[in-house]
Amino acid sequence: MDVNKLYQSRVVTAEEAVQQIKSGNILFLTGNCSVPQKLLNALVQYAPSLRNVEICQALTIGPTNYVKPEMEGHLHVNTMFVSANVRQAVHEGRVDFTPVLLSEFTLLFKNKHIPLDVALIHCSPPDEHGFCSLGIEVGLTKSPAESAKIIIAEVNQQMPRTLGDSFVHLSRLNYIVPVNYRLPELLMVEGEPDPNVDKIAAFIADMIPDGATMQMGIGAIPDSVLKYLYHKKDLGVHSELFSDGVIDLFEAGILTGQRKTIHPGKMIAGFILGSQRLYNWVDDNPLIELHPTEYVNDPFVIAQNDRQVAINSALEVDLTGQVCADSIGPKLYSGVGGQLDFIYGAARSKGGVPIIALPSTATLRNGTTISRINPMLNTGAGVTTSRNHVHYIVTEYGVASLYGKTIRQRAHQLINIAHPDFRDDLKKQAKELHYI
Amino acid sequence: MDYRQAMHSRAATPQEAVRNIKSGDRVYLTSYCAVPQKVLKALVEYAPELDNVEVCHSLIISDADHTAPEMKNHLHVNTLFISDSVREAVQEGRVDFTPVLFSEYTLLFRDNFLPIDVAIIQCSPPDEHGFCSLGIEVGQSKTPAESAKLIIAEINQQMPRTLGDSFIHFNRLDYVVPVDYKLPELSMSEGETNWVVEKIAEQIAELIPDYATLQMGIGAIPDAVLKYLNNKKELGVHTELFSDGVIDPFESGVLTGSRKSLHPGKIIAGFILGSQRLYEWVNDNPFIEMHPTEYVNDPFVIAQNYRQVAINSAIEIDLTGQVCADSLGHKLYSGVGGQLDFIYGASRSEGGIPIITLPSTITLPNGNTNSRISAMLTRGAGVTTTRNHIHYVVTEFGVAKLYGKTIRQRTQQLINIAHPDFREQLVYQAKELKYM
Repeated sequence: MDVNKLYQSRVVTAEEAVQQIKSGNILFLTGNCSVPQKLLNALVQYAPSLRNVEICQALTIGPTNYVKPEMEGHLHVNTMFVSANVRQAVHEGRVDFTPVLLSEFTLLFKNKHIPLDVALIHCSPPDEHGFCSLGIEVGLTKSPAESAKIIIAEVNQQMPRTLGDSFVHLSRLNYIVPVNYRLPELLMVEGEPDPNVDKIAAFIADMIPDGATMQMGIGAIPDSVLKYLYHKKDLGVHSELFSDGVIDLFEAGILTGQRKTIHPGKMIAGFILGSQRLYNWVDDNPLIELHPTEYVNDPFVIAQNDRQVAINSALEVDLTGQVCADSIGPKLYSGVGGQLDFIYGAARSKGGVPIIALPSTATLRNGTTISRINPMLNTGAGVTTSRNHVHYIVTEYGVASLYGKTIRQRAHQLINIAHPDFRDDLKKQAKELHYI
Repeated sequence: MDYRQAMHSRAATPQEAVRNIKSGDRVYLTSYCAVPQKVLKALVEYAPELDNVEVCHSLIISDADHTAPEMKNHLHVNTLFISDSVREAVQEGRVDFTPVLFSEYTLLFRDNFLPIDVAIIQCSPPDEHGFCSLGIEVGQSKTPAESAKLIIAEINQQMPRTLGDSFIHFNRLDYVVPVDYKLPELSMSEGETNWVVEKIAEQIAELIPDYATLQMGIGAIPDAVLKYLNNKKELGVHTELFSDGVIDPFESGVLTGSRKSLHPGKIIAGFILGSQRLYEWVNDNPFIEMHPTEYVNDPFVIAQNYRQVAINSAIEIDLTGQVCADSLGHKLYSGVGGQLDFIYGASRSEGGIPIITLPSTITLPNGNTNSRISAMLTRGAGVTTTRNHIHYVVTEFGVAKLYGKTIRQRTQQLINIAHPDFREQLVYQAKELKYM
């Protein structure tokens, strides 16, 4: 096969490509730091000629012009995770949200709950065998793309070639838009180090045994934990995503993956969010295997790792152990993501350590400080990890071990790791509820 | 070995048996309709001589003298499911409640989260090989009993000998209390025919395909469904519990289990709640295999069944699909039981059908009628099935299919199956919340 000839035969401009999209179509848009920007721009420009096109996506990093009010009637977004760029539109009811476990996200498309007409994806140039790597976003893209009738791909000279179950063959790409631009960067830790984040990270590091396999959720805390692991031995990674923090740990010889039960010696992940340094590091790196999320996030798969540690953030927790991570009261804020997949998978792993981490307080826009540990969740809050699933909760004041504990014991432990300013009030309210 | 002789050597009166319990001990009590009544009564009488004995149990069908206020400091109950007889004591804070998935209930004892000193169990007389069957309550008794330092067993002439992983050898029983009393009966139906229950059951029956494997949760609806399955072919049962309803479909040839992908030709269950007729039917019946709950309820096991149908009741549901089945607001009412185990297991089963069912309204003690479908859950409510897990919701007004659906679609579907008197108000509230 002449790869180059086949490639050239599929090349179109972004403007030509989006004309393949018809009114009423359902589209899939690759997300995370892999949003195909040129195509999306072209789509927004072409949108006035389209009616009722639905765009399905997860978290996207990048432009928001496709969710603007003037897209109404033309483009309608159905997001399975509320990222910062679409949050306002979700709150205003312009963008729809579908709650789903990330382990089942791709199956919505594969199993035709949401049949896709067109997938807009982003991949690396083809190798000599004609395979393009989906690069830094494999997990949520591969299966939806394969289930679409038409695939339109931006082939980016700067998309790293990640290994694993991460490839789509050139022959499957109906239209190719060659591009050459830098991928957006997303740093997990920005600005000044937050002493509370560091305290939480240090507590978590103490809970991680040698030989553990780690999952790090999105956010500053999970990535900060990695700084405190330099005295550990033979750690591994099986995670929905990872970021820059793993590089130094690998180079220090801590992150060997040698004791992993499944995929020993490999880092398993679905996608990557980080800096250009990270993107260069993962390029053609045999240490890293990216896989579809229905595999990576499957609790039945995760549980096969001994000593699986899951580290996930939350917005609020109640005194019985109900964890809210996806909303502020009834306002949809993010999504469950892989939180419960990994919390439950780690709970079922031999020697597993499922951790929910959150600062004890939040500061509101008006300057008021509120406790994130509350007698009851705010009305309308979404429970992402139930009180029947929860194990460890960590704040900057310590660790609460809730699994197998009564409501009374849970309330006491959680009050002990609440901010001291709120403890008396929590005690009083817990008594009124007959929790203590 | 002559086990009648051996029985003589270990025989004790209830009063003698309970003297082996020491202050500070943790005791496990067999639950459901198999509560060892004579030993429990003796324990209550002996309690004034004991300090701080913790009694762990699940749903009990029996008196609850052991939770009376005068037991304070002597006996302290830690219940892992709130039954009618202990509810008030839980809500008053005299009895503790530990939230746990039933698939993990027994593991709390086996894995020493709650190490057991003494297990008080009830079983059948030993067979010629010395094996006693745990009878109608195997699921949550076998593993806790085996993890106890000491076992006190009521051997009841009237306990049926159920087959499966249901036996404990006589040699493991330290003290034997011979008894001969009828087991308590528990009827799932509420006496007169209730059109709401019948209408719901009929609609659920329509969702059940031929060759399905059924799980029925506790309550009138799950059992009523069985009456509407006469036109189905070769159904099977894999369930936490079953009741009288299975006998007729077996006798009419509808319930054969022959197409089950796991344990074909067998009913698999953890425990039995029903009438004397049922207890006689299960006695030495090779069609029925009882197993410990950590096996029966394990979602990883349940998912191996082809077309697993899970039918579970709820108290309240919000417009996003969050299900509360364990509390009335913050007031603890029951427990998650096996609800999420089976809802999740069925969702992972090929062709599986996870169903949450509830009447559209509830009549309060003051005579007012409230909608069980609410814009937001009552503050403090426990979420037992999250909006990320939910599939089908059935009321007497229809079936809502929520899986893979947006908040807007969920809201519309749930309002359509709410009681007509509440629909307008729900539409108004949903609009305020920007859910539609």
